[in-house]
Amino acid sequence: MKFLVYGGVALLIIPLQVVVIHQFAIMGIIPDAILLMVCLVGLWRGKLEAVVFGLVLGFLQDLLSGTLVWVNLVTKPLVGLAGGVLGRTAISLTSWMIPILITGISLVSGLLVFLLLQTTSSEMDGAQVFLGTILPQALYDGAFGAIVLLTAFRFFPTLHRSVWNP
Amino acid sequence: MLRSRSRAKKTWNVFLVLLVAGLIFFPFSAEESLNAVAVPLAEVIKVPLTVVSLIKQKLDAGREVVQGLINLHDQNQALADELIRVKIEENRLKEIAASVDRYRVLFDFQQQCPYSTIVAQVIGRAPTNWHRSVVIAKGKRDGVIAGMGVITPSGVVGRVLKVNRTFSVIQLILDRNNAITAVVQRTRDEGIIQGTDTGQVVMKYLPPLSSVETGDVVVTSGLDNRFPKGMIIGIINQVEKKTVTPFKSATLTPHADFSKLEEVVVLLETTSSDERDGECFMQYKDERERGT
Repeated sequence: MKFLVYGGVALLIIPLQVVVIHQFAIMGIIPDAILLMVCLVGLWRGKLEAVVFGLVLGFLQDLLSGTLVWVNLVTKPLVGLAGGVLGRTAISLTSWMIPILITGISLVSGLLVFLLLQTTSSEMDGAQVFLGTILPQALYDGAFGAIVLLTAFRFFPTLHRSVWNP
Repeated sequence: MLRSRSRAKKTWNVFLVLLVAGLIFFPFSAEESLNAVAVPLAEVIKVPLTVVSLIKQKLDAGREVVQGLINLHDQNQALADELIRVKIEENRLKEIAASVDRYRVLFDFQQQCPYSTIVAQVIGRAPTNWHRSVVIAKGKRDGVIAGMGVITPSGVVGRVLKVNRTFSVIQLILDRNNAITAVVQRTRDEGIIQGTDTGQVVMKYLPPLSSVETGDVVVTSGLDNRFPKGMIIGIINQVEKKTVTPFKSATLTPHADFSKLEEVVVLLETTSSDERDGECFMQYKDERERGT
């Protein structure tokens, strides 16, 4: 059953990221719904499930992105791992801390992608990439995560209770 | 007691008989006297009669109005529903008409191109902010191979990066990892077209003594096997000469509109027997400049 749910979510989130999410682009920056999903799975379901889920989603994301380097296959499981570890160790995980955590994880993930691409891609201006892509992306991911969480908690109040009172 | 009651009854019977007889045999000559009483009485009666009649008329009229309003509301609701349905249908037809127009342009373009091409629908865009790419609904089964050039009637779009059975990923010329050999149409100076981190297109490695200037058209050189010679890439909007490099570089405004990519043309082969390289492209450029 669990595999079916994860499979269904994966089949839903990938087309959303490729087709729909561009409608929410701000100044050309799109939020990474896949990162958000993997991160949330890590926070709620633990690191093992998040790592496997991140591996699958990262693979699918790379399959559809314009690069031959499998960066997401590497970074997304790490995002899941980070989410899982932080979800377990953070003592008082309030709902407002989650977007901040997502921002931080996205920032680190972006830097990792930059380092990976730096080895294969030509002439990447670090400062420009950081200020033009990594930072806005991280902030947007955090804000997007907050909106998604607030919406989810509004419509599914039991979800809120199950997360903070497991 | 019984006797007195019987007498009273008899008296009433006699009175009634006399009254009926009186009425029957009342002389017609007394009609005038009766009318004299009846006319003013009728005038008096007329007032409430008229009032009641008016009230009834008003009520009838009001009922008709209310009934009309109810009918009108129902009709209005039905018309509003119909309007929504028609608007949805209109939008659908407009969308179909726009698609037909786009496909007609692509079909004409295909007909005029001497190369083997295939039209592909754009079904997705890059899932990350790191690369500029689109996903098209044509793959290996349609004859698409990695490295093939991708264009629109407006200009060069990019190249096929990854191919799966039913879909392919196109790396746009806006991507920093893309590189196309190009030539400035007026000066014939060669250079390399590349994307930047900010999503711009630059032409690098232009000769230091090149006379390129703003407004020059940049076309494919045909040196690589992806694109035939003479296909429009963009128009130069800024020329730079950095001190650290001996070459000039220029920033381009791409001719293709990347924000509205819905269908693209994949160049299945770039060699033709009739030597009309880029001709279809130039014709479209001319038509566009003429505003036709």
